[in-house]
Amino acid sequence: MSEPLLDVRGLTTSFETGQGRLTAVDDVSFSIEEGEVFGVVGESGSGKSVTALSVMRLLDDAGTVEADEVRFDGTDLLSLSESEMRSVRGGEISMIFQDPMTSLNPVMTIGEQIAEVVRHHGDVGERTGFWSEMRRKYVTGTSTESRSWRRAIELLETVGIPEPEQRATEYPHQLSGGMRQRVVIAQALAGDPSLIVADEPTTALDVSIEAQILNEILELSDEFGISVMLITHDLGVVRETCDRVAVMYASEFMETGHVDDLFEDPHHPYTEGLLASIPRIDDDREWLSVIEGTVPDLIDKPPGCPFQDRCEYAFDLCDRPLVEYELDSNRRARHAVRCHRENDRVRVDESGHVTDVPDEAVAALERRIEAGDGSSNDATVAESTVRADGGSPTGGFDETERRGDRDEY
Amino acid sequence: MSTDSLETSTAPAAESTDEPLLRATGLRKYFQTETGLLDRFLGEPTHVKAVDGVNLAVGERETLGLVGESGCGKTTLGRVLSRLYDPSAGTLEFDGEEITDLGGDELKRLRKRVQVIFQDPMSSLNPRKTASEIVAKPLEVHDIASGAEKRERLAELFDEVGLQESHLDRYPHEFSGGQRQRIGIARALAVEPDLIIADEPVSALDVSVQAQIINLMKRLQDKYGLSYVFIAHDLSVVKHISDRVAVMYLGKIVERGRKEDIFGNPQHPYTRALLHSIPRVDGERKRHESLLEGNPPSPIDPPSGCRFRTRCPEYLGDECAGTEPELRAVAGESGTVPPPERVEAISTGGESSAEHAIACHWLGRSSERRENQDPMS
Repeated sequence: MSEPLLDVRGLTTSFETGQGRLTAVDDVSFSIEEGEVFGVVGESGSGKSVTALSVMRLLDDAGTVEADEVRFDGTDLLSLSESEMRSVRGGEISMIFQDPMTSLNPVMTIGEQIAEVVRHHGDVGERTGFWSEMRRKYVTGTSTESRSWRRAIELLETVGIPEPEQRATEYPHQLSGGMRQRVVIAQALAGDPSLIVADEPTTALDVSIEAQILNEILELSDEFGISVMLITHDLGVVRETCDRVAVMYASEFMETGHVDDLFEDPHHPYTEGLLASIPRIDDDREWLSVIEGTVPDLIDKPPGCPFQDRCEYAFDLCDRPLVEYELDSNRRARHAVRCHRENDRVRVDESGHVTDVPDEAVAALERRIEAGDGSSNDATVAESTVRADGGSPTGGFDETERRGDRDEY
Repeated sequence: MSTDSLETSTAPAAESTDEPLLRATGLRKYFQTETGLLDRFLGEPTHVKAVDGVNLAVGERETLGLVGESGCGKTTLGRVLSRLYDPSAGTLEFDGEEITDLGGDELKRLRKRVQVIFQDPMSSLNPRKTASEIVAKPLEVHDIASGAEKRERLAELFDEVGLQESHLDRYPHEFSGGQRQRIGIARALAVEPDLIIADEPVSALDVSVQAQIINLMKRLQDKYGLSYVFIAHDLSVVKHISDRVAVMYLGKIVERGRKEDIFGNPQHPYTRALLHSIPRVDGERKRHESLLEGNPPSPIDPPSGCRFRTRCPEYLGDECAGTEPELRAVAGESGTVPPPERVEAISTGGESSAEHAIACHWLGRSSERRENQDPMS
């Protein structure tokens, strides 16, 4: 298998607050393949945006970012200097934010804003020094003959803005919300990126416009082979656009897998609860199911599963540190769940409740925790979970086979 | 355009016995746009036609869902219905009484029966008042309770909306978004109203919290026999809570009916396109062609004829641009024939407010021709 475009291992971001240390991202690992749309879904405050900002190194000194590895296209992003990082941002990796009105400059025409990005990242051979930019900004404006301006017009056309020459000379407030978001997408394309990080790109838009923008992003991803990391709270959006998805809760990735697997057969109780609580257009339930309780405080987070207080399946092992269990059996992509119910020695009845926790389950878990690694591609970990009945791990992965009786729930 | 349609919405069935709780007839709300001094002397004043001729009725213990894109006038309509705005034209009746021009004490008495829940609980709660002061205010204004009785009533209200007594003396910023919305609900509930107008009450909340609030609102409705006007842009939420649904576009209602009709057998091209563009959690995934291109036109100068024609996938040409379609009952003409008991209900004028009606020239086409163009098939 070729190397993924973005590979993040053990990312942890924390903020020092007056009340204590707030862990906003807790030991998160994921990878994004070339041309793939990877979704991160979660409720507000779960740490989705901070995950993206940490990868982009946009947190400055506000938070502490630690990671085993953040590798993008072969380079380690954490070891880059700030100026090198600056050329990656907006170039190789670009970002789309939620509110296009605040991510665009209100006193520059949209053409200027895009042309500026083209000059800095697009290799058009125009001067980008401080004085040249100042002259353009305050005196001459970008020449409509210049390559950067023409490229800006092209980009506006690519993202489906009618009359791009005319529009390029307008200011953000003259455009509608959907058009503005298209401009932001054009800007994101200006640096010829291989990864676009889109943080709630359609949350501020109406459903009809949302569909247009999502289609636009998908088409561009297809056409130019751009990978997309899509951050959203909307499970419907995830379902319709993403290839793989991670469900985030209280700063951790609870379940990661192919979007079809995750929606058709969710394994984590939180994913299950989340899916059940959405009102759907084609169901006739009288009452929506509800996840009782609220998200735990992320300051001085206790060890163990952050969902245990709200989880109807909670059992003895839930206050132990979480490890990642990988499911196999006809999954469309690697499917990982952080829930001790998936420990293959724990017995689970048909309703999904744990009936028995044998000692060897605890022992196996302890060996994994001792190995000091929540992730599963560790040889020693794989060794420790070889099943007594002769099942053995393949490909160096720790396999937790799903038992037949779990299929139903 | 056939003229023998069963009924137009402007003439409610006279023999209808159960009078709706709230009825709006020909309701309009125009806002004058800000103009320069010169324009003010010379030109005609221009108006934003936020609500432009709306007829609707809300029955007792009924939830009417009001959906549409932003800028379609649904919030303005909600405010006119609750008399927070004065209508520019049209009449409003509440419980058989005309309330269009109420003022002073009479308006205050109306407020006791019609309450409002707002979208953003943070900006609709005074940050300098404690939760108990906020919820107690309507009790004081309407002289409902004071002293120990008031405290008791507050505890009761808090319990009712799922807050604890220990929350009474906290300030809004100490609550989560869902809890704040619960305070808003408790405040509306305090005067024991008959009708609550809820303007996007859950759109600022997370999905799991949304479910909690929707369930709470349904439970309260069952218990107190409340009616709701539930304004939202999220169709799945509206479907879940409503009995009847009205779809708005540029200040007008383009389709209304029972929720089963609207969601099971949508007729107006706009409703169809809107339903089609919702990202779904189940079913087909990925990339459907978006049926709705472009943005809604300006409500200052809406298109002639049918307002939706500039974006309509079924645009028929002159017919659509010429006359403005009126709301007409679907039953007789619908391509998909409604179940017989409904046809009967409509033709006898029994449930005049529950009828499925749309405003579209396309409906006048023969069902065969429509099927050929049907975007959903």
